Amino acid sequence: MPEGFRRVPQCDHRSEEIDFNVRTSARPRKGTESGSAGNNLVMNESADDPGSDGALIRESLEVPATFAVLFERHAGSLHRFLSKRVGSVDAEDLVGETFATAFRTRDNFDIGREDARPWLFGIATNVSHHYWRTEARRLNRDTSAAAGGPTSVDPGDDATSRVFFESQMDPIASALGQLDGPGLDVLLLVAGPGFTYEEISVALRIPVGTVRSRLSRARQQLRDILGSSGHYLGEPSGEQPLVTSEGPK
Amino acid sequence: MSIELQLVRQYLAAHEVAVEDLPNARAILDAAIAETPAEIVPEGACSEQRPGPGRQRRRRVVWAAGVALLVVALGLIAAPWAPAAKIHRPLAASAEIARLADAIEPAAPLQPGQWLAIQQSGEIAAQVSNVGNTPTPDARASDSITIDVWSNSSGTTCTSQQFGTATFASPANAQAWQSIGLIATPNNQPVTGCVAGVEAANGGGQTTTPINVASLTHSPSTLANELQDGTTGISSIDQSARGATTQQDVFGRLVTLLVGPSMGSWPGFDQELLHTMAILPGVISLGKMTAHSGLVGLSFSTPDVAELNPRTGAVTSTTTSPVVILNPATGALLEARNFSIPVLQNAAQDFVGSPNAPVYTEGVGYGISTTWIDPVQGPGVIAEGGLPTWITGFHVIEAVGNPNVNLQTMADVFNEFVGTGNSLFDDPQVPGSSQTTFDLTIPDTGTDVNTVVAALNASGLFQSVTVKA
Repeated sequence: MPEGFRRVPQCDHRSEEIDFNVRTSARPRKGTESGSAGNNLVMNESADDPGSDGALIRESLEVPATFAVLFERHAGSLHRFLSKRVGSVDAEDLVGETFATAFRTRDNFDIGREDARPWLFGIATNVSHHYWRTEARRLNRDTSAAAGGPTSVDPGDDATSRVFFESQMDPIASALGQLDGPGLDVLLLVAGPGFTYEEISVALRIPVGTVRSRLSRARQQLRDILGSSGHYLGEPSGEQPLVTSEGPK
Repeated sequence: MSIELQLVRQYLAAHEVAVEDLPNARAILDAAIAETPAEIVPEGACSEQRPGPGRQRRRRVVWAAGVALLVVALGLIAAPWAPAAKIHRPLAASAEIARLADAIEPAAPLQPGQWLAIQQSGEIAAQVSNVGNTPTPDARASDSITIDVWSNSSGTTCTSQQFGTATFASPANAQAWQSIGLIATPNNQPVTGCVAGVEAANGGGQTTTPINVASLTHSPSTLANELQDGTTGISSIDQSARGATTQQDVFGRLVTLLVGPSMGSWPGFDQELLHTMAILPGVISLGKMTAHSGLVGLSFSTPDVAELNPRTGAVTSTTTSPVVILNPATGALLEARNFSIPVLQNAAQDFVGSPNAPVYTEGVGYGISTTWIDPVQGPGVIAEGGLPTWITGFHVIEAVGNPNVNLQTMADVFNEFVGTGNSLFDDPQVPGSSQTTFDLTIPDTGTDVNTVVAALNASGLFQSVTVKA
């Protein structure tokens, strides 16, 4: 078993509460990564239509092969999405992994929903994260072997993903590569398949409020990055249309 | 749509590849479908649409699956005649765990007004390794623990944990424990608390902090990878091992999730955890084992890890792996051993004798692991009337600030009510970029709820003020 955590004894929680009186922010925000399940937040759509995604998935629980119809419907758009996240060379395999994962976990799908796209794109997002983590491990292993010893392992996928975006030689891609991961996920689901906040909440299993705040933060980051690189000038915040100095890239 | 989103949309715009041009992707899906044991492929249906290579691959997978089943069957037949061995083959463990996962009946979702109640009891081992820079190898104790968890469908989770009086293996242990300012009978028992609203959604908590699993993936394979990489997003799980992660660490993370206490789970949560356990590398079957409740179940673990003296090769220490015992018929957890419960780490302060104790003033390194813990009651569904009174008196007031109001200005209104048991949590940028949501948690001994609501409304600073629980 791992040893216990090394810690200095904290103030008693009960006295910690008293400290809040002198704080500007009542308590530091605790990781927006976690949140309540999205499916509690969105009203179910009807899946009465026998040809809906939900009805097909329900049927596939008894006749698995019917799941392949979903592939016919959505593989193209998922491929387009994934090719922008991992490159066109590996995107096809990841489309396959996405559908294979979806098939194996289809009993988790809320069959009350008609549209499986948020669920599928959420899986695709996770698959792309796993892809970059695997790439990071592979790169570290290769580097380690070449150097003849251990190297620092980046457990996340951000660094390798960033290299991919920057290699596109496109200022927008380069800016996307600099966004934090959770914000990038939300931004790509808005700008790519055009999901609503609620659909992204389902896709990423985060509360709608978290979707909003992540998108807001990502957009602000994007504006700052594009502005500082001379490609884009705009207002610091807000939903108003912004003005570019050089026009859309 | 704003311009930066338009720019991203333009970047993402690309020609969509026709489905027929994705044969490899289709083959991967076909292979997954072919792995389904109960598959019935209707003649003339989707199979006719599959490209040739996909069908060939599917046949190969079916053939491979048949061979695998044969190997498992031969293993089971050969087992009685094999040399007496404590540890089964990993393949058998995997198949056995998968069977137990399938046997779990997903719980029915809670209705409004209903609460899920769970009680666990067990024994913990605590060790203080150092106080300041001074090693304290003898400062160790055992203690009984009882944990109760109540949760409802609207996101409120309450916990109560109660330690017994610490016991010591020897007088030297007792003396070492007391000499650093620790006490045998803990203060403030039981320690109770609730979380709700945005605080719960953000993984917060007061004296007791259940593991918030709401954002965990529903995919066993993804979860297995995230447990391996320490990327579940739950810090108490991800940070529970240091340095290179071993199979033992990964299994320990899963056991911690399985035991909880957790909040934000879903009806198929335990089922997913067992499916994940079935595919974790290194998990072995230990055969039948008796839990402290007297029930006999099937037990699983990973190999113990021995550290060797690099010069002599002698074993210098052995780290015992976590063990779970599962009901052989239902897959339910009967007992877990040798693992960490994050909620207990926060409770250690109750063994501190006074603010002048050396452990308090000099800093301390300590560890608490669960020797064993059994679910002794539940999960059961109860009505609100069956709750302890301290829960029915618990409230959370959620206030959403008006846009662009200074945070300090709003905090000043709350500060009148913070302390004396009440606590405050804020989530900036929610629900909008210039807004902040506050949760004021009020225990049954705290301020009158209506007084607070009236004061917040009177300030005119808040868009909405709602009693959430």
